[in-house]
This record gives sequence, C-alpha cells and structure tokens, in this order.
Amino acid sequence: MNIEVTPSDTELLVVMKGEAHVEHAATIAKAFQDLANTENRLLTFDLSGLTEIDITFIQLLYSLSNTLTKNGKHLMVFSLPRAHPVIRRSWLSGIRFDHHFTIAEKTG
Amino acid sequence: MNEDNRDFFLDEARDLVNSLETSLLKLEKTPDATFVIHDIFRVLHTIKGSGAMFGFDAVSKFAHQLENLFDDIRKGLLPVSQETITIGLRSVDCFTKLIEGNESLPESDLIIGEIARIRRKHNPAVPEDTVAEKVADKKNEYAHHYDIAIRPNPLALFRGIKFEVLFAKLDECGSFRNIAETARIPDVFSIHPEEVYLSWDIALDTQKTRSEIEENFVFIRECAECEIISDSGKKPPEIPEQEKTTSTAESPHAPAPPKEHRVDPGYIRVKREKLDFLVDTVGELVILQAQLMRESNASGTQSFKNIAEQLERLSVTIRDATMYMRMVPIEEAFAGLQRVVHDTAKRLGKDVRLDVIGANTEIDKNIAEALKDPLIHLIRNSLDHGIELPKIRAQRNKPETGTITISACQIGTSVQIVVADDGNGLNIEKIRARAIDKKLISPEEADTGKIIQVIFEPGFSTSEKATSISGRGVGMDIVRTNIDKLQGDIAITTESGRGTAFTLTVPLTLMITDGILVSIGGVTYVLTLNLVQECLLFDNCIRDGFVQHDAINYHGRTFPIVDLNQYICGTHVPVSGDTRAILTSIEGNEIAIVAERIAGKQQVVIKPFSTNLEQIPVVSGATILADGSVALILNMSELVKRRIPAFCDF
Repeated sequence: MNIEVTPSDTELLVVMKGEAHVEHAATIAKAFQDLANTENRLLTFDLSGLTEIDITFIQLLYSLSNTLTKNGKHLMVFSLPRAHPVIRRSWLSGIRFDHHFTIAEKTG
Repeated sequence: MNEDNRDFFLDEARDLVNSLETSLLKLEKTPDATFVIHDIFRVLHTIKGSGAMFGFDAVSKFAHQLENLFDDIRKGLLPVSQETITIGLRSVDCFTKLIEGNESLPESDLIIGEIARIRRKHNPAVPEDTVAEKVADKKNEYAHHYDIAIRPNPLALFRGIKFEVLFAKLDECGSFRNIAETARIPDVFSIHPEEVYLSWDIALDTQKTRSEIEENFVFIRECAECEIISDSGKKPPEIPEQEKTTSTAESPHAPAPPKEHRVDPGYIRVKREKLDFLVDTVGELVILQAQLMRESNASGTQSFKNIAEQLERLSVTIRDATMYMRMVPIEEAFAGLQRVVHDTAKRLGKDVRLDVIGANTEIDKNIAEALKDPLIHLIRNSLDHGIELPKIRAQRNKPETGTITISACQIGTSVQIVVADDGNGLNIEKIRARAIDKKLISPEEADTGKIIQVIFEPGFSTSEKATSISGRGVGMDIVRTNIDKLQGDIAITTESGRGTAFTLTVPLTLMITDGILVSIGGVTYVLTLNLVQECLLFDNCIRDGFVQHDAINYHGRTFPIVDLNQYICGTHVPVSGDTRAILTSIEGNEIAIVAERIAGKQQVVIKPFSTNLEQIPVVSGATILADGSVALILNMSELVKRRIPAFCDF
C-alpha cells in the first residue's frame, strides 16, 4: 500500500495505490491523522490505484471526511467507474460513494 | 488470518468433505433420493461460503463449480449417473488436497473442465465460462424477501472475519441492498483503525430458503449478531433510493431486535490441546484426592474424613464429566471406510457391501483416531483375500454381493469392534505351510489359534505377489502394532468358505484406567485390569495340582506362566501365601502372570512417556499412586510377545 501526497497552494492531492485493508489500517490511520492536521482546506483523493479495500478503509475515509468537515475543511474523491473494486466493495458494504463523499471529475 | 481461524476452517472443511463423500456413496445406491442431493448441495454451498470467508479461494472456487453441477441435478436438468458420482468422488479427493494446500491444482482445473462438459451435454445453455453467475436474469422471480440485521462485535476483524465476503455471498443470492449505519464512526483522531464501527441492515429478495440464507452466517456468528428480522414471501415496497442517514435518531445503541430466529448449534468447538490440558489437570486432581483420602484416614479426625469424602465424590463427578467430553461416536473411526470398500471393490471387480452396526458407540477421541489405520487394513485384506469374485460366489451358492460388517459395542470399560466378512475364510493350511517355511512355527505346531496368529508377523503374507492393495505382509503387522499401543487385543475366528471375523477389544479411554498394583522385587507396578480374566492364589494352584511344569492348567485351559520377577529382577518369584497368578488372554495367547503379591486395585491416571522413554516397549506409561510414589504401567501385550521365560520349577 502506498500513499503519495502532492501539495499545491490550497489543496492536497492524495494518491493511494495497492491494497488498503485491515493489515494496513494502522498505517492509513496515521497518514489520515497527518492529513487532518495540515493547513490545506481541500483534500482530493485519487483512489484509482487501489486494488482492494475492506471496511477498515471505508471507515477511515468516512472518519477523515467528517473530521475535516467539522474543522471547516473538505474531502473530495475523484470519480471511479462502477466496476472499480473501491466502488464495488463500498457498495456491497452499504456505503455509496456518491452519497457520502463529494465526487470530483478528473480532468487533464 | 490467525491460526485459530485457519484451524477452525480446516476442521470444519474436513468434516464437510467426509460428509460429502458419505452422501455421494449414498446417492450412488439411491439415485432418486432427493434429500441426499439436497444434502450434497448444502455441503458444497457451505464449503464454498466458508472457503471464501476464510481466504481459501481455491477451495471456494472448486466448490462453486461442483455446486453448479449439483444445482443442475436438483433442478432436474441433469440425471444422477455413474459419471456424476465418479466426478463427485474425484472431487472429494481433490478437496482434501486443496484444503491442505490451499492452492489450485492441475487436477482441480481438469475436474472443473469435466464438470462444465457434463453440464453442457445436458444443458447447452451452460456457458463455456462456468465461473459466470447467472443471477441477473432472476430478478423478478424471487419468492422470498428477507430483512437482515448484522450487528458486529467491534473486535470482529481480529478474528479474521471478512464482512465483505458475506455481503458478496448474499449479493449472489438475488437482489441485494445493503445500508450501513455509520453513526458510531468516531473522528480520525479517536478511531481504532482495526475495530468495526459499522452495522448493517440488508434487504434481500431471493429464491433461497431461510436456512440457505442462514448458512451464510455460520462463520461470523461468533463475532456478529446476524438475524433475519423479517421473512415474507412477498416482495416489499422498494426501499427509497435515499440511504438511511447517520442521524442519532437511528442509534445503533437502540435495543436489538428479538433473537427468536437465532439458531443455537448446541455445541462449541474446543481445541484438542485445551481438552487434553483439562484432562491432565483432572488427572492431577484424582491423584491428589487419593493422597488426601489416605491422609484423612490416617488422621482419625471425623470432620477431616467427611470433607475428604465429599471432595472425592465431587472429583469423581468432575473426572467422569471430563472423560465424557473426550468421547466421540466410533463412527469417526469408520469415516472413509465406505469409500475404501467402494474403490477397492471396483478395482478388484468385486461387488461388496459394507454394513455398519453400533456406529454411535462412544469411545475416546484419540482411540477412535488410532483405530482408523487398523480398520482400513482389515477391510482391504477382507476385500482382497476374503470376499470372492461374483462368479465364484455364485458357484458356491452365495449372494454375488459380498458383505463386510463392522459392529461396535461397549463391554464394561472396553469397546469391542468386530470386522467380519462372508468370504473365503483363512486358508489355515496355506498359512501353516508359509509359517513353517519362514520358521515362524515348528512343523509340529497343531494349534490353529497359534498358526493364525502368524498373519500378524511383520512381512508375513500368503500371496505369491504383492499388489497395490495387499500382499506385502505389512497391513496386519500395522493392525497388531496399533492395537498393542492401545493396550488392546485382537482375536480371529475363521471358517473355511464362510468367512473371517477379527475382534478388536480396546479400552474406552487411555487417560484413566482400572489397574492392579503388583509387587515385583519390592517395587509396585501396574497391570491394566481390562485384560485380566482371573486372579488366583498361586499356593492354591500348586496345592490343587493346577501347576504343571511351566503352565497352569485351569478349567481345561493351559496358561503358560510368565515370571515377572525373572524378567525384571533376574531371580525367580519367591513363592509365599501372597503370591498370585493373574490369568489373562491377549491376542489368543492365554498366560498366567505370576507376581509376588497384589498390592491393591486402583483407578490410575496414565501419564504417557516422553519420546525417549517410548523406546521401552514393555512399559506403556507411568502413574502416581495414592502415597505419592511413581509406578510403571506394564504393557501386557509386549510381555506376551517377548515370551518371557517361565519359571519351571514349581
């Protein structure tokens, strides 16, 4: 599992790759806490490189999103195809991405 | 996945595969038995689900393909045929390998291909890619609607539970809608990343029955409450597209729905090591209790004696309850024998039926396992040498189908298992000639019992050439060695042209046994009581003229004398008024063990030796006596086998 963070003036681009499941949950939680502490007001996640997720990842992403919102910040996720493992697993687990997160269309 | 979960799955899967094999053999005999087809389908479905749940993907994938085959059969699209039974039995073998290795095998791929071919032959609609599911077309045909609540234990993930896999299984069942309750998810600084904060409400429309749906919950029940809270034959109104919000109004702390639908399996699985530890501890308790009784009797204090007696009653109850926990139906030892008969008979061109009687007789789990190999060898021997070819049986006015019967029953503190066939019977003359040739008996030997016993000698066989089934003279040796290890006995009865019966007698348990304490050279040893027939005052035997040279002739039977003093101390037993002759019969050999005196009778807790001391064959273990001293338990079978020189000067 790999997390790359690219800062720009006002936002952070967070690119996640590999498997984001329970074995990496502690690492992801630590990374997300660091992200919640940054000054940036907008975090955009590119999850297209994730090949597998489980409910620990869904909970962490949801938790980060709520924490940011409470602090006047915002989390967005780049749109993914319906068949993508992230979307499929989330749907099976009762979380629809488009209901819980702001979806951004990737351009360029 | 942690080791506990892996072991749990492996235990469960082995049981399921055994049950699959039994059902397939049943189906072969009764192809119209729809309940057997349903049983097979359910077993495959469970293997598939649990395999996926515990990460055994190769097992799950393979089970899925076989499940498809039996789904076709239960829907009437495919008949039960020899082809389907054969592929089912081959799959059983393949499952066994897959479960142990958890990797795809070329053999499993081959079988999957054959399954697809069989299915297509009868149903051209089956696509070449059999992995593809066809649930989409069924959307409007669902007979059942279920509302399911899943309330996980927060620590469920530590037990290796994968809820996503459960959801995927339910999704495969029909139209699946899942709504997660997210209210309990804390902020990112408070979250424990490996805990479960979600809970779920699922609406499922499906053709599956309630019990089929509940089968999916089996492997997560210990970590989550899974309940079907409503079950209707009608499809409910569509759930609004908008998801349930995370508002506190629908708090996860609200009272859980009633549990009346929850199925209690009525048992819990306990690791064997835990049970062994309990038995060991109870053994210590029994020893300590005996010491306490001794002290209380010596003290002369009535109140002390009363307490010791009450404690004794309690410890006996605990001991019996603990021993009972280890007891399993002896059918565990019989598992797989039907298959041995099925496959071996087929290879030999014989028609053989295996009848099982008394499969519910209970026995210690370890003994049941130790009996498996001897039973397989006895059955194979009966199939190869006992049961005749159908043509020959017809010439002898016997039914063309031969019968092997295994019967078990409890007799006192022992279990007796008889393996009998209605075949040729042993060829005594042939055995005698071969035994003389191999110098195992003298040419003058006329005792049929002794002649028959040579079939247990290592390397002994009357076959001219060894086959893959028998003839190497190894099988019967294994039978005797294993039964000896269990402190058991084997007897043979045979009748030419009518058949042979092997009677195995083994103790109910190897942990605690009744023992006779004998004194040899001033040291106390233990003989297990289950093999003792009678105990005589040796003086009286001499007085009444029973002792003749090196044997005791008693009620027309001759018991050669075994002098334990001679073997252990190197000097003959000093004959006194206390000297005893212990009459016993082991594997057809009757002997009289002469000991200085009998020091008492006691229930003894058997402590097995470490690997190094296992090399002393005449001693099978040790125990602690009531006075706290250690006593060795003598292996009576070995004493007989070693033909300890008898004392000849009485």
